[in-house]
Amino acid sequence: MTSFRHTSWGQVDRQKSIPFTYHGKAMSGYAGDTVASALMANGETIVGRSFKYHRPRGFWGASWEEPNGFFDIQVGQQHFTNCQGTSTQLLAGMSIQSINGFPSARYDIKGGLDLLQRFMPAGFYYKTFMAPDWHLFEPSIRHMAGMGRLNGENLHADSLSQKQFRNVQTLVVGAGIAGLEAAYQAAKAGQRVLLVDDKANPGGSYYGGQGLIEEQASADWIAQRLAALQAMGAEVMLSTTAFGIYDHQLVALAQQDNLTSTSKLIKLRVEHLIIATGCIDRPLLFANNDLPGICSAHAARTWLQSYGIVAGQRIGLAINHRGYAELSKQFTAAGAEVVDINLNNGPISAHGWRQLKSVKQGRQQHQLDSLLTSASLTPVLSLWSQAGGQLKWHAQWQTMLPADGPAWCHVVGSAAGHFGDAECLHSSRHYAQRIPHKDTAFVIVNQQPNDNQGRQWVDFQNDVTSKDIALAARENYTSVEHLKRYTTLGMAIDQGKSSNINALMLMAECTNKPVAAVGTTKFRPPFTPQPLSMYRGKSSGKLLNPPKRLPLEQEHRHMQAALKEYGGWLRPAWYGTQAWDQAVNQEVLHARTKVALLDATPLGKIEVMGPDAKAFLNFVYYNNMASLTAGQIRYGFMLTEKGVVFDDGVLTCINNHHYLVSCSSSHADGVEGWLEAWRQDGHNPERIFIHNTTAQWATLTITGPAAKSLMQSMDWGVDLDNLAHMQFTQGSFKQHPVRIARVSFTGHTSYEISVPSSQAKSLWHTLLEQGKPFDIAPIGLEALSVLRAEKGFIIIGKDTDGETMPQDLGFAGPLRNKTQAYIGDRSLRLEKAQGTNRQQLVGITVNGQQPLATGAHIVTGELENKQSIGYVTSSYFSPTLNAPIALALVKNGHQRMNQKVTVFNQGSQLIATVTQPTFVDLEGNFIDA
Amino acid sequence: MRNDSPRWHTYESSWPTYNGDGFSLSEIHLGKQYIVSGLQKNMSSYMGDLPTISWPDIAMGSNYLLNLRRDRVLFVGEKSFPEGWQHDHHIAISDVSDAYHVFKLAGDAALQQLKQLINLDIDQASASLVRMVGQHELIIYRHQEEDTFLIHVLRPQAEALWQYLTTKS
Amino acid sequence: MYTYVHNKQEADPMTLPYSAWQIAKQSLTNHKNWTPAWRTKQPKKHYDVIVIGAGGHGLATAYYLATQHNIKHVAVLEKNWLGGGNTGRNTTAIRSNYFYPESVALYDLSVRLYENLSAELNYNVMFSQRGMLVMAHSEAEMEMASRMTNAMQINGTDAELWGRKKTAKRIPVLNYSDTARYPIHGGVWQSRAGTGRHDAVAWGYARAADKAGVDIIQNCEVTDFIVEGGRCQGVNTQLGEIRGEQTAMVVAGHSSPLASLAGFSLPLHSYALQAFVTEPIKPVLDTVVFSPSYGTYVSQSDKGGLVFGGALDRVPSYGQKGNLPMQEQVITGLIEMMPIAQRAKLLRHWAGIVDVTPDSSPLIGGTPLPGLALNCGWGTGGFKAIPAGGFLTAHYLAKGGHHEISKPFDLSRFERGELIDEGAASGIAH
Repeated sequence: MTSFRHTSWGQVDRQKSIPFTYHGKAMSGYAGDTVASALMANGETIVGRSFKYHRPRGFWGASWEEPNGFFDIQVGQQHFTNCQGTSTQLLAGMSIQSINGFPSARYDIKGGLDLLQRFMPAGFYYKTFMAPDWHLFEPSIRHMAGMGRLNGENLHADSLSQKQFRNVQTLVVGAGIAGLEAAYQAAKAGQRVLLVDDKANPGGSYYGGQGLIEEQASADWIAQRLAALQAMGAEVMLSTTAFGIYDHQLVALAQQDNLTSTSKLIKLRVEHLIIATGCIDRPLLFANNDLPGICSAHAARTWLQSYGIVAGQRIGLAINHRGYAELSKQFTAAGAEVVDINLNNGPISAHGWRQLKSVKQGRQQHQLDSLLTSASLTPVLSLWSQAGGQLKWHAQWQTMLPADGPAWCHVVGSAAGHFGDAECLHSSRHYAQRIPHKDTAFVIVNQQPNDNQGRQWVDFQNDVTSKDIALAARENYTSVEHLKRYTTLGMAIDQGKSSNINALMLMAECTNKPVAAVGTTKFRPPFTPQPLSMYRGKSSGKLLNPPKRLPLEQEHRHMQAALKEYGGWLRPAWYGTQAWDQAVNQEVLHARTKVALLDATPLGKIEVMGPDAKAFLNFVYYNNMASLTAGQIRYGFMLTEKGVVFDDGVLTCINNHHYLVSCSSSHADGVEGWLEAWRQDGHNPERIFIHNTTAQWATLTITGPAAKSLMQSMDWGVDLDNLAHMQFTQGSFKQHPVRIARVSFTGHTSYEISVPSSQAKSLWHTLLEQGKPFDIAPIGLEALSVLRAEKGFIIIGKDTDGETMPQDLGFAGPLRNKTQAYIGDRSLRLEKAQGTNRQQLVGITVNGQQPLATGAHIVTGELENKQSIGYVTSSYFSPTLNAPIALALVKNGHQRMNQKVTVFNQGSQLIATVTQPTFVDLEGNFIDA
Repeated sequence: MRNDSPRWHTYESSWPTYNGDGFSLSEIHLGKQYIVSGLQKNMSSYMGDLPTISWPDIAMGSNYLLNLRRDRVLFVGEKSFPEGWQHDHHIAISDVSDAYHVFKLAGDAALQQLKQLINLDIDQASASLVRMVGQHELIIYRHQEEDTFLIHVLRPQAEALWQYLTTKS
Repeated sequence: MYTYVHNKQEADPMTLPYSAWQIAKQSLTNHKNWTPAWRTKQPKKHYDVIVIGAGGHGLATAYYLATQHNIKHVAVLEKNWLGGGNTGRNTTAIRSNYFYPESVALYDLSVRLYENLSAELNYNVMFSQRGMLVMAHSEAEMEMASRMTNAMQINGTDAELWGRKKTAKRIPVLNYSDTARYPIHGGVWQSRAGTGRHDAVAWGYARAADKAGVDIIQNCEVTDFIVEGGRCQGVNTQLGEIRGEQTAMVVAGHSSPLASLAGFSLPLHSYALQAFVTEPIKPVLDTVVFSPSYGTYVSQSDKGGLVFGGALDRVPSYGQKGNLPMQEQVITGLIEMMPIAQRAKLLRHWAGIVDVTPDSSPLIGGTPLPGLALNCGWGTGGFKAIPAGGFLTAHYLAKGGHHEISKPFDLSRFERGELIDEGAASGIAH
């Protein structure tokens, strides 16, 4: 092709020059150019290389249907790959490179691959590369594969994307004349209308055209419709692609003005969708139809009207229908020599090396540098299909048209087979009536392609020819999905937009079936490739799944807390600037000898109220909770229906109709959901109410030998002398309500003090102040983990897994004695639950100072016959004992007391001893009950 | 073990007013807030005659009920109620005055800001004011003005929401 | 562990063998003499075994019946086109990094069969043992990783516990920056894990089964079961009645409707699982990576696209489409995990219907209807198990009872509470 820029035609602004480089060579275009039009204006003909054979390719399409011209582009610090030349706006300073060709598409050292094409038919890699080993071939194949190159430099320079939810009554996709008219009608009828088009300018195939629409200059007609829409409050969005349709009438739109501008993902809920997406050309099949210089007729017209690019100096027209009747005149007026090839006279073949030189038809030969082709018009129906609309084959027009579909969608204009202007506008004016297309309005000449003079290309990018389709048919890959996957047809970046229909027709011919019987492939979103960055919005780094924060965070930081994430909260792990293990040891010893302060705010606090609260909780808990009296607290498990322990915690009875569920910190929302679900299942939800008040209360725990003394030295508005372990009371703290529960996770006397969150700071400082004589110090979660392990108190999900049942943890009482039904009771009576070889919680000790690795397995057997009988769940160095301690789940653990066992970790083994899962205060004296 | 304190900026439990493009975001303090659950008829008789706000109603003044579920409202106002199960009235009440931070998002672009996260539309009525955003349950309603929105967000999650709304894309 | 009958391929004049030499030879006649990969058959009235479902598992079952047990009078009935269900839709990971010995035995059998599959089927399934890393992002997750690698080593498959340095050296493209939301501590590495070409697995088994004498009948939907004397005697189909000594249903996400036709129900929930592929790009990732924290797994196909996926869509559905919220979540996780991906473009996404059992482990064996066996419930993990699933189902049908590897996965395990709960192994009670 020797395409050239017309001196004055096109909508580009010749006053604004846009400089760029192509493979380092300085070039320029005009404002309004795409990368493709700028390259064509600069005489570039070979702009890409096909995927498999590295054949030279030129531009073929008008915009998103382009299969050949893709580029790697750098703008400023941003790098983009696989940029489609025909749909990418030219920006100043772009550095553009072709892809899949080295050093460039124009001169590609792999061009010789095409000579080996007979050894690389479709699917050849399934038949070979097996011996001796696929892995020998794979690296080379991977290097040959892939199109553009991802560049990871300066990722921070890329703009974030925006996300928006929107609602509209009527969405019209496509601002050509059909879409403009339909939008106008919908707005007139009082609908809230949004009209979108993926181009930067409205008008569709009339943009930049010189023709008439209903006797009016097309530019005027378009401008009038737009003005009317604006006056009626309709909205028009350009550079906006409707790319996907999802459940419940959700349309996904991508809005982006150019490569470097912010992309916007719009999630639009619509009542009505009007599809006015127009048509593209079906490529004519003939020998060597992939030569640079051969392009879509519609595309060539677009290039001329929008950018002033004339496709060549000697242009042939190979169009087997009258849809482009004006083209000959148009291109002659533009200064080219035009040859109209009559396809009735027989099949054609193209010739030339690296670009089109001539076209033969029988004995005739035309010297041409450009050929505009169209075998028929292909309506763009991806959205229709995504919405559930059916397609039907029109045998005469050799194209797919919309058939039955959902009531909320309408297809108008040429996309629905209305190929003439008048018809097109009529269908839009009455879109609600779904006017059927007229069969007689469009006629094509039936083509009988033959490949005697060369290969006929069906999928340009993936190098699939009619011979490949014949081969697939021969090998019985005849269903359309098999055909696609076997030949890779339609699986390139253009997703088969220009190749699907030709493929169906060829397969029908090869298998002697009507096209309708071959089937159609499903259209899948996105309609055009969408940048992954668009889906992310602002969710990155700190904004991605942020943890919950404590009201006392500032206080913790002030005391040099090392904050870490625990169960979705940001909490103090330890305090102080010394090495973490030293800090943890100090904190443990302090809690065992003096008094420690811990922020327990994340503990779940779920109020269960109502006349049926007691019975409900007795059902939800494994333990007998019906016997709780006011002011009493009981430790209990919640089981899943499989009998597995999924939460532990304490239940407090405030009174017969008011209970407080204190569940584990990481799980409050999950427990709330669990309770709400069961409240409605087999119970009367009008007699049970569940309030999650976790965020209302800040909870601080005081624990240690001096805890009681400290508490008694302070004014709580209530007598604490007789508050025994596992009892609850309410008082006041500086005129605010305070809840005090004697619950212990360390084994020592502990008080969990809860105040409304706004009083957290006040309570914290008061405790630190009042606690000075008792040498109070804060401790973090790491120290707490050691303290509770020393006493053998479990952490759900760490010392239990998804199979652990309460009897495995030594809590078999309710299983034996509880008579009322509870969640999980049936599962506890199954064979496996009653079995003798269950994993049970035990302690493990070793010699020396080095703790076992958490995750080490306890094993039996020798060498190859090793079997795991359990694993270490928690393991720490205990400063209290000055020795390592560990908890583990071991099969039949309760029967193995004092046994020596082998512990395996990453290939090495050592001997350990099974013990009770309690290491400190075995008599339970630390609790001043 | 890694210390993650430097990875997160400090949550200070209060924020200065933020002025964005066409909107402002600030924290406000309301009176008391109570979750009240029970049968609808019992609730109105117990709480007195207060307007129940749904979407897109505009709450006026400082005493109103926010509609959360068929059997639940959030009371906002100056009154105090006893907590717990009110047997005679068959109502459950919990004080949640300290459970939420309340943000005020106002301006022409206020609704736009919210629509980054949530599908809200003035023309689509909704009885409940509860909106799920990822893991967060927000309560959103209009207050005093057409383009002023109050957002009740649970305290532990407020910092995250503030950061999100005030980060430019 | 199992006795494996090696398939001696006799030269079959009907089928051209596949090799580079054959390609060169055929090129001389323009490839006009290649034979069908499988024949198009009309169903006979009677078979020894009827397999319902021509996905990977169904085709593999037929193949192993014919080649391991000499039972060749087999029909595979498929309502659409073979390999068109989840076999044609998955993200192609093959691995055996499981916790319980029963699971390791099952999935590692599959990996070992995959290792030799191309040679055995004479069809390149492109099993690329490029390794897989399951990442750990905290000390607690590293403890779980340690537990997992130890279990795998003890149970006889390969596993290594990697730290951050080793991970960064092997997979530099991941996010090691200080601002990464979830810092990478390391993870569980299985070097024998990898990916395969999913269509090729289905087509390879189909071709080999066909060659061995099996009838594969597409576009033949089963409409009902023929039950006589309390026993399944065959099926009614679009193409008429077909009787069989034994029938096996191997239809994944469609198991529940089929089971109800047979008069029983299955403990299955169907969910949509989405999968995604980007435009093809030059190689950036040469292994498989999964991050439970980010909720995303990714590999790069041999064609160049990044193939990735995440968790199930939250709303169960029989529709084969996923919705945006999960896409946004998965893509966000991918970019945070592998920042260079933010510059790639999504080319296509789709969903499959996965059938999930209460313990996320499969169902292999008998059903309440005598004469009807089943293989389903693979959830999100069916592709990697195709060879083992087929091998074991064939064994069950041929021998009238379980192979020791499939025994734990019998449907009756739920009655006894003998769950093999891999989700549970990770500490999550559900």
